[in-house]
Amino acid sequence: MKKHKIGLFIPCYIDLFYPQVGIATLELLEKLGQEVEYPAKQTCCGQPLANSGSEKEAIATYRNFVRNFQDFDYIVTPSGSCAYHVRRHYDVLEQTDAVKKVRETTYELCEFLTDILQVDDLQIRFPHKVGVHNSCHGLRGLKLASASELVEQRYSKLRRLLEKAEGIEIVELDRNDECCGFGGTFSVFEPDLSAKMGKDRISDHERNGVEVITAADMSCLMHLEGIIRRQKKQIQVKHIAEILNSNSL
Amino acid sequence: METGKSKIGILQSIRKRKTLFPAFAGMTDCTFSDQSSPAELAEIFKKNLQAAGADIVELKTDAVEEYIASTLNVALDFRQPEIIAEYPADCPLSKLNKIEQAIVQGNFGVAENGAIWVEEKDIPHRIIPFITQHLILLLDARMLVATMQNAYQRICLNETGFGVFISGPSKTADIEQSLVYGAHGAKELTVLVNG
Amino acid sequence: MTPHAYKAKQFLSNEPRADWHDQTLWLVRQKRDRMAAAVPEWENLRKQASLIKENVLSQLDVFLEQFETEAVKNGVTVLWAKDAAEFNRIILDIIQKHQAKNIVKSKSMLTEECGLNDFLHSRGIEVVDTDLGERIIQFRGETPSHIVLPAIHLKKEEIGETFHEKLGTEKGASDPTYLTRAARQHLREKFLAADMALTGVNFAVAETGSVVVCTNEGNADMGVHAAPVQVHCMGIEKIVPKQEHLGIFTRLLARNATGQAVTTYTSHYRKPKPGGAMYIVIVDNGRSEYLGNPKYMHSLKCIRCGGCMNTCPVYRRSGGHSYGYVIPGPIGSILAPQKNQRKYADLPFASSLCGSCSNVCPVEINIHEQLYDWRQDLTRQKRTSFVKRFSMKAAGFFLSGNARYNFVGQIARWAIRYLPHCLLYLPINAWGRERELPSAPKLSFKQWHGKRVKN
Repeated sequence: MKKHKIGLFIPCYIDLFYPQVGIATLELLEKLGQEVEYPAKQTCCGQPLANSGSEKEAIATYRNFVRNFQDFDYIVTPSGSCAYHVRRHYDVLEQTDAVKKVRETTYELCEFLTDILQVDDLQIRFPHKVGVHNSCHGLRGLKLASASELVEQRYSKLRRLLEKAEGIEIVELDRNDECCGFGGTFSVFEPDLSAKMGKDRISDHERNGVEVITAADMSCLMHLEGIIRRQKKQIQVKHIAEILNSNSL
Repeated sequence: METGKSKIGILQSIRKRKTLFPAFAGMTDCTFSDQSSPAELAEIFKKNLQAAGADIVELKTDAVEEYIASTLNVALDFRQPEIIAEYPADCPLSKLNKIEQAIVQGNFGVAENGAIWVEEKDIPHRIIPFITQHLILLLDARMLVATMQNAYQRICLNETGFGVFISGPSKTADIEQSLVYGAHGAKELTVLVNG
Repeated sequence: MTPHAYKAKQFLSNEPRADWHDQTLWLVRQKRDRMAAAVPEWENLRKQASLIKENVLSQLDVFLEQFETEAVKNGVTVLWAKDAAEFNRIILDIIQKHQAKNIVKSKSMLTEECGLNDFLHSRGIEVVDTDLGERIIQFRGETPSHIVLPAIHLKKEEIGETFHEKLGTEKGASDPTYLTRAARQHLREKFLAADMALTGVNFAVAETGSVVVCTNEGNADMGVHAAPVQVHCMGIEKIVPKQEHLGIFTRLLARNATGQAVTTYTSHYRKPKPGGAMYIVIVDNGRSEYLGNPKYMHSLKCIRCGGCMNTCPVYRRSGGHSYGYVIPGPIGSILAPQKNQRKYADLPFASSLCGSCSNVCPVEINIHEQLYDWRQDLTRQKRTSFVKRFSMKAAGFFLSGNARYNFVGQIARWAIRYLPHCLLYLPINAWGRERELPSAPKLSFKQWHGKRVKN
């Protein structure tokens, strides 16, 4: 496997609330022989501001991101949403070489594993019934999987990585790629809708016997977990990096 | 009803702004699936027409008239000059509203959706295919095209004042998405496919 | 709370009903998926449809004039209206000219947009909506909650109640077939008595001067062929250049709208009936203003299939009336601010930006990207709340520098760890009403990594 110099981007909410996801991502990339650096002055990709309409206020954060990450072969992050934001919405910055490079080399973890490292089997064991939550920006923005609306060949980069795990059972859902309702600040500005969408997503997983909901975005899972804990449900959430980094054979 | 000024205003508004973006080329490549054999087309057509709620009767060409005479003997056959003469374009609606069954010549069918093309020339009054309770369309089995794209290559809108694709009886699902046949147009559609 | 959030909350307060609404529309979406999948060249059709519409928009003046020329040759009177007021007045003029008393109308979102029914009502003229769903909501004094399924928010029992009151159907009867038959009888009388028929337009063909109207019920045809005067109302963007282009659009429209291979009737009106009069009214009403706008121009490609509503996880759970604009759902949320930025400033935010609408759209409108762009523009124009703009400005400050970020992050983590539950979950915490906050582990990733590097 070719060794790349990787800048690890740990999104703000993962840094603050889900450090174990960042740790799993770092360990996994190192296990795969990559040279991983975590630029300590990183903060956020700026998405929460821009999605709320305050793109202008996010420019300084964008610049901070570019400053921190312009010197790597690849920028890898355990978030489809943030990766998509950098790629798609940093178009408002002046397109210097550094900005262009950052936009082109930012990858979500799973697509980095499948497309760049071409990982086939991570030699892991995860004997659970798993439901894959296709987060929207990863799905429709980064095309991590085929979208149910489109007439195209069915594929999923997440499933491809998970399927090889020993003992895993990937569960089919009634609605394979419906939004969970997190939506950044949508979750607080439309709290009732957001919560209802989340509840419906969880019900789908429960109905189909899922034990662990996984995703390439912790933000969706944070929202779902918030509902699960409030309603004291059994079902669990786990970021895909934690599964892919678990119990090596 | 002088709207000439508005016309000029609207067109000026369009012209002022359209210079801000490039002219788009429009249709480039328009491939579509037209690989089916005539027999396959006939099967697809039948399946889709039934899915649209129509009944299909397949007949040999020489059996059509006999079938109509025996089974559809109360139907008004709008291929017959005397029937056409009886329901002219200025025929009162009250009379048209009494039509129970109407036989109308269809021009050709579209396999992908079961639609049949009907033109003004085939009906003395435009409302007939809609106002009749039960519509019977005649169709030559060889007259099938694969898709709507083929269909529009076959018709010439400039030669008819009114034309319509009909696929099945009138329907609605406006009450709780429950499908009900017979909203305002014909409650039943029977297609006599001959040949 | 924004108007949409408030109305969504109300809609969701009856959860079983909200679930029913969601599931009913999801079934339509699934039918649409099966129909699309049966057409191998589906994605190519979308692309072609989009290109045709872009071409139309870039030459709209040319095509409109060509359309008018052809239509006039066919014996049609073509009238132009720059806005809703002029449109309504034109319709009134036609009514008065022909001394029409009994007017029937088949579905036209344009007449809804222009408020035609109310305008005529205030002048003592009643228009009968003949689409079953529209007749139902007209009886109830409501507006459509969906552009293709106008009464989708109603249960059959409610419709039964309305019909009992208005049409004398049996009390308590709610069987859809029974109710539909009653409406058929009632509306057939209206058709037979009609002296003028109004319709919307799905497509207007420039090269032939024809208008195309698609219905399942046959109500457009019943009205148009029964009444001596037919009036077709179209927005300027309804043009397709050539007859052959209809092949593309009629393959997409019904499949994407209701999951049917085609509507029951695809009617092509070109000339007035013998002895009859035919009018086509072309309406701008603010459309041309957005033509030169690279961000929002593509919204004018819309063919009003309603597919984006059926797929929208927000629309399905908040209902069409929660949007407060004549066209609800994702497409409505990008059209509404074109009409009135202040009034509809909340709509582009009534979305999780999941992007399903853009994937479903048969003419490839980038709906969710336009929602994103509207958010920026409306915020810049200060159409959003001060609190929101201020908090984003503050967040922008804290997220843009490492030290500031670490400082605020520490406070947040400290608060979650040590503040009592009652303080953390004060009503101001919208997140916490139905969700727990994430737990805050002892070390952030950054702190953990700092220690790791040191060791």
